[in-house]
Amino acid sequence: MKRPNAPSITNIIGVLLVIVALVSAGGLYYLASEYSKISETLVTTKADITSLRFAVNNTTGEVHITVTVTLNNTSDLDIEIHRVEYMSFVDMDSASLGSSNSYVGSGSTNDGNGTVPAGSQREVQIFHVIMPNTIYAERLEYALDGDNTLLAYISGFLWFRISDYPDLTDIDKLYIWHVSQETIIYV
Amino acid sequence: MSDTETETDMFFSMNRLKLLVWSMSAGIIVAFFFSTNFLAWATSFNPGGSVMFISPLMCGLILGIVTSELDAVNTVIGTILMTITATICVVLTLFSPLILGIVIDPTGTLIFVDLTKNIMLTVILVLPLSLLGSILGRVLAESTLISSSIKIERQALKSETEEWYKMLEEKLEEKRAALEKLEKERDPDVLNVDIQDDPQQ
Repeated sequence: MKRPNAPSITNIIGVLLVIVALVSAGGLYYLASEYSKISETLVTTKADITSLRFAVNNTTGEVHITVTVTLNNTSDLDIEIHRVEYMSFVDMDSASLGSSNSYVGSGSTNDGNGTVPAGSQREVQIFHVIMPNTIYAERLEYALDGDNTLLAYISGFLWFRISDYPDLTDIDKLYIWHVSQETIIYV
Repeated sequence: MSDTETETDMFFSMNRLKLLVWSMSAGIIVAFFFSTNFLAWATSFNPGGSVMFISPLMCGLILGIVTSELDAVNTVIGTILMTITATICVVLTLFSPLILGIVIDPTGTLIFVDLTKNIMLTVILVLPLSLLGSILGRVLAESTLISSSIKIERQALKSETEEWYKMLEEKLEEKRAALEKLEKERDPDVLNVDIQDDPQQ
């Protein structure tokens, strides 16, 4: 026999529904905070080409182009470098810089999937070699135009991924570019 | 105001409060499963796409059961409230980087999710499925959960209402018949009185 003040079955189910809803609300808050952290990482992470070096080997005649890319991670999540790729162009002036006639090669690295901890930065060095007596060496000579300076343009992409969320690989792409007047170093 | 009226008002306001709390709770649960699916890559917990169909149906079913002691219209209102709550919670979750002030640029939040598509999907799926679930839940509760005393009480109320309607019909019929009788008895010449022959003038 039912007691006069006993709670009804619907009220018991209702209370259970509220308890499950409280747990779900906690889950929603966690999800929202994780999503916010990821968005922050994707929006605030910056990559720049911080230095460019042209070095000629006097013995072999090879030209070593060294590009330093700096990845700055100001977010709360660790990130990993997935790949860095660039194309390099040289010319004596900016009129045709970036065209196919000024292209002198490309470089790439995955930097061993180096990790950039939260709130830190990492420098990645990439280099490629221009062999003597090639069309690229001729373009470099033309760009030098008798002196030791040339106008260089580097353009490329840096792909990174958030260490805790590896599924985001295809999305995290940063465009990197750099234009500067460079002096050839002879070593 | 008498004590009985006060008690009745309190009963109805308590029922409204319960309806509000239960509907919002069901909405939050549905929003959790929907948001988890929309942001599946941002969490290790991914129950799969099928929960987008199952969760509104099940929450609607439970809402139908818990509102079975109230009028049927309350169940419908409950599902609408549940849909509104679920949509608001999904919107808040998807806009969280903007709301928390982490990403100032609104395009920053649109990198991974199509907001319009997800919000539309929430509304389109939740309302009909939860309504279907609540109807099923109500039917289930009325056939199994509701106590025999409530059933008897409802039956008595139903028969009393029907009796009242019957009495009302009878009264109306009596009144109609009396009016018709009066119309027939009325002499048509009385209405065509010649004003000039009126002795009072």
